Amino acid sequence: MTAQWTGATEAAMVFLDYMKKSLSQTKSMKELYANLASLARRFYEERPTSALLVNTIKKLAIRALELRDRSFDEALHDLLKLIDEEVDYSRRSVDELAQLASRRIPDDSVVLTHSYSTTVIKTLSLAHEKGKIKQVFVTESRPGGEGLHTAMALSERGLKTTLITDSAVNYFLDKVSLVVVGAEAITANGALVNKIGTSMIALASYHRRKRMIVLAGTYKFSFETVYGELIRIPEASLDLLGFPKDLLYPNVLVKAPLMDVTRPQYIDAIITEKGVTSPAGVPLIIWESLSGREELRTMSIHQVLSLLEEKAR
Amino acid sequence: MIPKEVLEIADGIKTMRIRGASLIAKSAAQALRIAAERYSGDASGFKPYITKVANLLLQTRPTAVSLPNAVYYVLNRTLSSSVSEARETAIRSSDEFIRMVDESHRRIMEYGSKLIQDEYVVFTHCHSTAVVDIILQAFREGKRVEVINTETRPLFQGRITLREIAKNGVKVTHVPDSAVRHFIKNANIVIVGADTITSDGYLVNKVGTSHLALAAWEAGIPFYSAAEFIKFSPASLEGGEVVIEFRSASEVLDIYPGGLADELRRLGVEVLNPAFDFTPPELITAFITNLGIIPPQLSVLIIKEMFGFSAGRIQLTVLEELV
Repeated sequence: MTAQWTGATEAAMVFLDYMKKSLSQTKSMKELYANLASLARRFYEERPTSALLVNTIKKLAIRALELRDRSFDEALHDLLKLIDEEVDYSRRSVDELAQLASRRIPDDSVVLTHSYSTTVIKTLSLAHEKGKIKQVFVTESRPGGEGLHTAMALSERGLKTTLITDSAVNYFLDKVSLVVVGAEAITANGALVNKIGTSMIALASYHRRKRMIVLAGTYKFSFETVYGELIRIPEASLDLLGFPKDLLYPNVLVKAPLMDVTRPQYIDAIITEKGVTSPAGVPLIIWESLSGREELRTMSIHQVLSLLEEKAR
Repeated sequence: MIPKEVLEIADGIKTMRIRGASLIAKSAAQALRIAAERYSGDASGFKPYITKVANLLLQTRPTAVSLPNAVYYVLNRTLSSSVSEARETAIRSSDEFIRMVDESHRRIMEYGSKLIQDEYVVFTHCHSTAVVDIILQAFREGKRVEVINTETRPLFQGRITLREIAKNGVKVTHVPDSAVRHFIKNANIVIVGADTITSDGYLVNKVGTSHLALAAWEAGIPFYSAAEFIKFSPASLEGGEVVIEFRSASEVLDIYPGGLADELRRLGVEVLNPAFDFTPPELITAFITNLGIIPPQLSVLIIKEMFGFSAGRIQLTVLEELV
């Protein structure tokens, strides 16, 4: 479905694209709910950590449920319009965020980044156009190796790019002046959920007094965590790890979670499309973004998905 | 005239046919023993002769730490003995050194296994024979020990550790290097091996070791390194720098489809692949050595006890001559 190495923003764009095509083919309200429910469920199961995906699903689903007494044509038109607006909003936000974030990057920066993030690539490219970047270190980002794609994208845009293994971060931190990463989700307490390895990089850079900034639009904030919902972390398959089958003794367990959690204490700043904040400022932004959208706050993704599935029956 | 067997050993070390710190050290000592035994000239010529053999051995792998340690253990004692006793001393101290290396393995296994309590989970990185021996010893003693280990990119030495431990029935959880901090909270103790230890207590070991040390420190979990005396560097006492070897990019890229690696090269992406990193003494609980469990700040004691303070000076001089 989605390529393994896509960032959270790209994955959400792919979702919206699929959804548009899928809804366009429906002929009745029941079918519309069915397609919405099954596609939302599929994408959520694949990437339950992505706050952007969860937020997007919730928005679409809640609108669809609000439209239940309208004619099919009207409802379809309305939903397709909403999808277009969402795509447009995300694109614009990423651009605004990258503009803002590139201003925060000092001259002569040697940047370290991890995994793959559209927002990070855009921000570093903008900063590079302003002549601010000397070099970028990119981690391989096992499992998955998304860092290879980041390295290619940056090198293609003219940045001096160096690929290193995940284990070599501390070795090269001496040379690094700034750590910049994207986000899968930001929780209510300002913690960062991102590709596995992020929290190790955060710890090492904190220990070495290197600044770490997180690029996360407000659409990456996980509203549900305000109400105690936990974020489920999926695991990589043995195939993705290339793990040799002959080593699978009955007493061997291979564990490869795809995400980890970085404590807010290790994050110097979170940059959103609305401005720069500290992790402590996250709840404030969440409350503000949610004013007047009661249902987005109170309903969890699980409730939303089951309501949709009920409608489809 | 240097005996043929000695040249063969030197060649074996150089071409990496003889590998592993202990084996390299023991082979070097063996070579010196053979050279001394076969010497047929007059007594006054022995010291220059054995120094020549020592130099030959040192040139085989200038960056390995166990090799110069073997050579200087024997050479120091030989050069400081009288002319008439020099040959005897060389033979005796070679034997003594080999015996000590073997015994240090047994001791480290014994001391290290005492650190593992019943139901402990041991976290380790890369592959170290000493660590595998410690874990299996604790397991044989009836302790219900479990292991978490990393795959250890780029060459996956963690899979060697996994096999050696798991085939004996110990439960092992295998994780990517990037997941070290995520899983450290499930461990009770970290034990890794050692490549080189400096006189100021820094551990040079497989790249990523410092991550594990930092994560353990943050989580309040003790971090040990199992290290025979041959891993301690007398040269560092004299300010000698430990040079980190950078290995080829293909080690990192080989697991990916060929097209991807070609594309990276075409786009000019640099790939840097250091083999080791430095773990500072403040993150190390202690070294498990053949002399006992010692804090990293006392590394200098091992160097003094095993090699003498002057060993590093001779070593550096010879290395400089080589350059």
